[in-house]
Amino acid sequence: MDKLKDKATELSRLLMAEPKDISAINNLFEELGISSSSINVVDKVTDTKTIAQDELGIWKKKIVNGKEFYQRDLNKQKEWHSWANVNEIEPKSYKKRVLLLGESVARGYFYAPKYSVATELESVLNTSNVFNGVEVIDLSKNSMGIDELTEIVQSSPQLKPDQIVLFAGNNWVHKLYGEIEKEDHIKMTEIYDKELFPGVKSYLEEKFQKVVLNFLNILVETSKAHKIPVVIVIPGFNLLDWKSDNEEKILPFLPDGQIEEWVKSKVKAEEALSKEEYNLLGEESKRMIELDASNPLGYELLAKSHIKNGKIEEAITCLDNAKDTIMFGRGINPKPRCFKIIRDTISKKATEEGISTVDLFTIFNEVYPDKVSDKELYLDYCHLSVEGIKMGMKHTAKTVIETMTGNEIEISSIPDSLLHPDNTTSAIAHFSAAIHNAHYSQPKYVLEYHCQKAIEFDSEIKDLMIQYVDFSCRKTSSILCSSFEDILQDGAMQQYEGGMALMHPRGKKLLDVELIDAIIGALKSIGLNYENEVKRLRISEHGVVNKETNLLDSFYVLNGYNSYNSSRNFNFLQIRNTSKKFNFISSRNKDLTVKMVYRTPDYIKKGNVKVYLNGKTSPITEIDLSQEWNKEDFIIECDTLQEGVNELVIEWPINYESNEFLEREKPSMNTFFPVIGELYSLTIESV
Amino acid sequence: MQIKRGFFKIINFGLDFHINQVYYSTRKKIVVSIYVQLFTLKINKKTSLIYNYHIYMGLNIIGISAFYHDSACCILKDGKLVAAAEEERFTRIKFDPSLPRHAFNYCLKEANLSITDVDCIAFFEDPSKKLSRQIWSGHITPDSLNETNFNRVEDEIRDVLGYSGKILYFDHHQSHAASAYYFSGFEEAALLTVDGVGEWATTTYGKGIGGKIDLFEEVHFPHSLGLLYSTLTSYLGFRVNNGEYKVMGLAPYGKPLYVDEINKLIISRSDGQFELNMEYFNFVKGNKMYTDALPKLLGKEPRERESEFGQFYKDVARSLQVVLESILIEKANYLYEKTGAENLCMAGGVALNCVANGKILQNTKFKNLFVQPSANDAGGALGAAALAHVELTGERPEKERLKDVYLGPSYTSEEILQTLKATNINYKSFVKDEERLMEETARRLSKGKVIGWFQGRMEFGPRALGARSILADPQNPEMKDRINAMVKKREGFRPFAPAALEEHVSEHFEIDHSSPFMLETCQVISKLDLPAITHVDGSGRLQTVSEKVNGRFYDLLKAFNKVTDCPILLNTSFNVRGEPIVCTPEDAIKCFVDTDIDCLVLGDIIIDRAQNNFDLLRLFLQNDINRMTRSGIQHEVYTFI
Repeated sequence: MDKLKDKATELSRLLMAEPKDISAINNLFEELGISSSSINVVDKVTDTKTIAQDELGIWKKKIVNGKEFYQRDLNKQKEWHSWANVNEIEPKSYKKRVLLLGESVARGYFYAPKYSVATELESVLNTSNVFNGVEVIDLSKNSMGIDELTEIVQSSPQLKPDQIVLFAGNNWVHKLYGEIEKEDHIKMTEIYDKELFPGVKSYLEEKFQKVVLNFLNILVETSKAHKIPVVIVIPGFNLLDWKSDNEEKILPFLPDGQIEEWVKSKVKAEEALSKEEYNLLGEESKRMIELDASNPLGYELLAKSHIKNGKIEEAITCLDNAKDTIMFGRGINPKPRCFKIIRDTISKKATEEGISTVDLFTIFNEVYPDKVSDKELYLDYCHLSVEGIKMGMKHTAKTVIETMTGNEIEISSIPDSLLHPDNTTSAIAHFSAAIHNAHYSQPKYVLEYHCQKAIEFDSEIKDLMIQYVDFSCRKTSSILCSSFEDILQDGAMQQYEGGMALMHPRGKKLLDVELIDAIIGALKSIGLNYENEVKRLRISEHGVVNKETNLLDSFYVLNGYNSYNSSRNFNFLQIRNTSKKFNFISSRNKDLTVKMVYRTPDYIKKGNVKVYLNGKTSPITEIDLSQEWNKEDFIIECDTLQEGVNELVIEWPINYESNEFLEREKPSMNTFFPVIGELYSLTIESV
Repeated sequence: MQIKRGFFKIINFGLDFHINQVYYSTRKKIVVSIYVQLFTLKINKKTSLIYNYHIYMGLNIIGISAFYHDSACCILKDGKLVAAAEEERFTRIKFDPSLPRHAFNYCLKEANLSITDVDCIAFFEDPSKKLSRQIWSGHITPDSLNETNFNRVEDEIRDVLGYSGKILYFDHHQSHAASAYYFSGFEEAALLTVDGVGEWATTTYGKGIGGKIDLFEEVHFPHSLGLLYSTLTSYLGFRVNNGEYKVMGLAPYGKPLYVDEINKLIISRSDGQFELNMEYFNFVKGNKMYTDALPKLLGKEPRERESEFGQFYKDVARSLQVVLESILIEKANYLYEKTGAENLCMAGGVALNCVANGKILQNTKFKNLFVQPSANDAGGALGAAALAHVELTGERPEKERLKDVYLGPSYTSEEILQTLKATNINYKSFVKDEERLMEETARRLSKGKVIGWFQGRMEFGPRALGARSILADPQNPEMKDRINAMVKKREGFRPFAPAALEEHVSEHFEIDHSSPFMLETCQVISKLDLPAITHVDGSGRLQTVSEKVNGRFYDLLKAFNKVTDCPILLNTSFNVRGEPIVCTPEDAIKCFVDTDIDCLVLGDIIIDRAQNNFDLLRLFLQNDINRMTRSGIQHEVYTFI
């Protein structure tokens, strides 16, 4: 026994040593009689889930008077709100039965249950008068992933459908991310050395393609086995107005000092944009893409140049590329989307198998040849506006009719449906969209657009807006706030996941500065001035008065729920962009002291950390680089402050030595996206 | 403190030295060049040496316990325990085993320090020794080479906490022993630590004198009293690492009919040694605690979780408790003989078995007993920090006994009011009117109301001691069932504990000393009928409350006594089953709303359920994914990794 303990002790020493002596380690394992398969082998649960034939999703089969009904299962009541608001599925009748399967985009997110994709499709099909009645059964669910979709596809034949319409593809990214393992990082690092980011992208796309094909094979198998035709609706994307956020734009590792060149090009491109010099903008943004194909910013800037030069097709290609850059995994919670590889894989497989598709990306580009898909078609990144739903379902109806009748028809022969959400529904959809866009760091003009649309549809939404402003400005968790409770009690925000989407993730409540300002603007347009009330509330809740305010608290540091996809939760803030913005609230009656504890990695060799206030071009202080945690205090004078929201920006120098950086980093996310600066604490208090 | 050139005396070493140059001063650590003249050596000429010596001006030591269960962090500032908290309270993940970064942040904030001020991080166990035991047990295989970071402890301290300074590692049981001894106030004591397992040791025997601790004997894994108890806990249908306490509570309902059988599971050896009969145990390599031989030995299948308790299982629980007490008494007697010390310090999870602790004191020659209030692994953080202090300064940290465990965060009335003002909740404020606050609270208690009591700094350790407590009238015969039904949702057999005014304790309980940490049981001898806190065997797990230690809780007990002539309250932890004890005012409000507690006293504020309608808010909370109960560890088998 003691000998074995001695050997175990020696082995533990070897395992903890760096570098590891693998041969000695293996010898000791052998001497201890420990082999890979000898112990602790737990049988892997085989992934062969049996498909129940008496339930699908939240619905369970019930026989009443010899007829099959499907009713919502009380045991799954907690899931009901995520699924389409269908209480009961009646037995199949004389009507053609179309099943709509899919994710939130298929639900008509922001409108459902008041108005939905399923009801629009049903209305168009019935108005077309091709069939003697059509029923579209809505089986869509928010956040439905590819695994759950597979299950619902496999269980759907029990409803005896004449047609399946599958409207999905956005949420598949989650499954794709799950496929990336440690070995992939090692592989990608090797590829990156030779082929840079385009090589990494091809590698990832190949992996993703397999996942998509795996699903499509099951779909085809089910369709053929049960002789149920399928139409796949491929989601589109709000290319023009859904912008990448700061997390999605963090700077990557680039060899040979190219990062500095990229930053210079970025500065020049942004200057060119502000001076409306679009050709220069085009040149600089192309250079940005050459240097870094993983960063969406280059594509977004180049698209602006193309649009100004009337090259819409080129702009669309650029923005499609920008959209797909989340593939590189910078953000932990980027909004899902249908990558080009998913779109292409579906199209190719569908053609091979004779399955019809409705590709919204292509259709919208054809229908609106002079513009890039934007906020008029999409309320956020992928969820469609009424216009988008109507256009999409008209084309879907055409394809469904063609599939079921075998006859080709013209789109012009498909009538418009008479279905329209009422003004209140539309107002709430736009207001919810404003909130959703804000919580994923979308630009202020988009928030203003949706707030204004909401007010235009129904000015009574002002009460909801004022309630929102109240709980959003408070420090207390939203769920406990009276105004939050009042909103939910009224049921007014039912369209926004029953109102529960108004809740913030734990410890991630935002200050919502731009959204609240957009709401104030919208309220002003109907003669309500809420500016002073907001200022008062912000100061009373968040004002830097006598107590220290921690600027690393979510209110002040976050402007959205997305964050860097770090393998660890660090106890300090890591900065991977050249600047980081913090908000704080001041009553502008005293000087303030800022205390920061920071450090910079040793591969950053020169420059200073600069601190700016309220958009001023000259820094209020410059701080030396420090590889160790270093304390630095400085004063902000009262007369440089604004009453209400102030903006503190810390700018970090970037000039790392590529080789030195690589030598110290193991293949991981950090290999691609190095840290530029770190903040342990950042507090502010009145002097 | 100003560093000057000149002669100083290093008292500990009996040397004179001369600071001839102050090199530099960063943070609070002064590095000086010291010209040391060694007069004490028997050599003819003076020997001179130049040393760089670190003089600590404000020595700040962080203690950490993590990666097992009950991860926690504390800070010793110049040897004084300033703050300590379990990570679970912040993350709301019960038994959270992760590196306690939230607790670490809290400790720094409470101590008004920054990462730059930390001089040392002390870790509560030796990762290398622990790894060797895991290898021996077969938990590490060649497959682990690619999957496991064997340097996780240091890597995470460096990476996650961003700490680049000195890290000191101490053995798990050394940390336990130190957590008890250095905070006991004893100048000399015998030390007994007993738990599931640390690195190799499961039980240790030692002695502390002045600043030094000597652990002279260990019992090694897999032979473990803690694992014996956990194995039977699992057999009795409770969750390992969670249900041990319930077994202790179940025991008085049974008869010791299976002592002979349980004695077959453990064999006492000479000195401090004992062995488990491994025929009955499967925890080393299996995914459950016991083999099929155990049910055969006891003659019945294991109890299904959440099923009814037959008398058989109660008898097994009682028999287990008897065997545990017997062996602990035997080994404590051995320890007494070996050390000759009158004082005994105990720590480790088994030391939370307050029934056994009482028996040890009664049945050995030890005159005084100190049990670390956070005797579980969380307390290891305290012990490690204390050991680091001794190593760095040569001095023991605390000389006085730990007077309280109110070491967690507190919230001002202003902060509480800010939270409440945002809500629809109706409340009454008694800011600056403490007397009325006490009267009103006592009046409600006397009328049978159950009170959520949130006051001052949160307790460190598993017991709620009047800072994050649920309180009620112990005289009410229905109170136990009521609290179980309305909030605790726990097994009906488990007793609730009494908290009593210290000056009245002897009138109601058979005890002759204070018991501020609720770590001892004693017989209830009160003339009052106290059904809600009296266990089936007539005992109670007492907390004595003095004005000095918890003034506000003391005042409440006094006010309650004034109204009812009963200086005792039922005191149980402020949480619902499966959730950690509440930490913040928001946690308290959420717990209050989601249960049927009648009234919440939040600092100076009283919230009456009768004055509010929480139906809607409760519905939201029940659907709040941020609040889904989670456990950070597995409960089928002990957490060996």
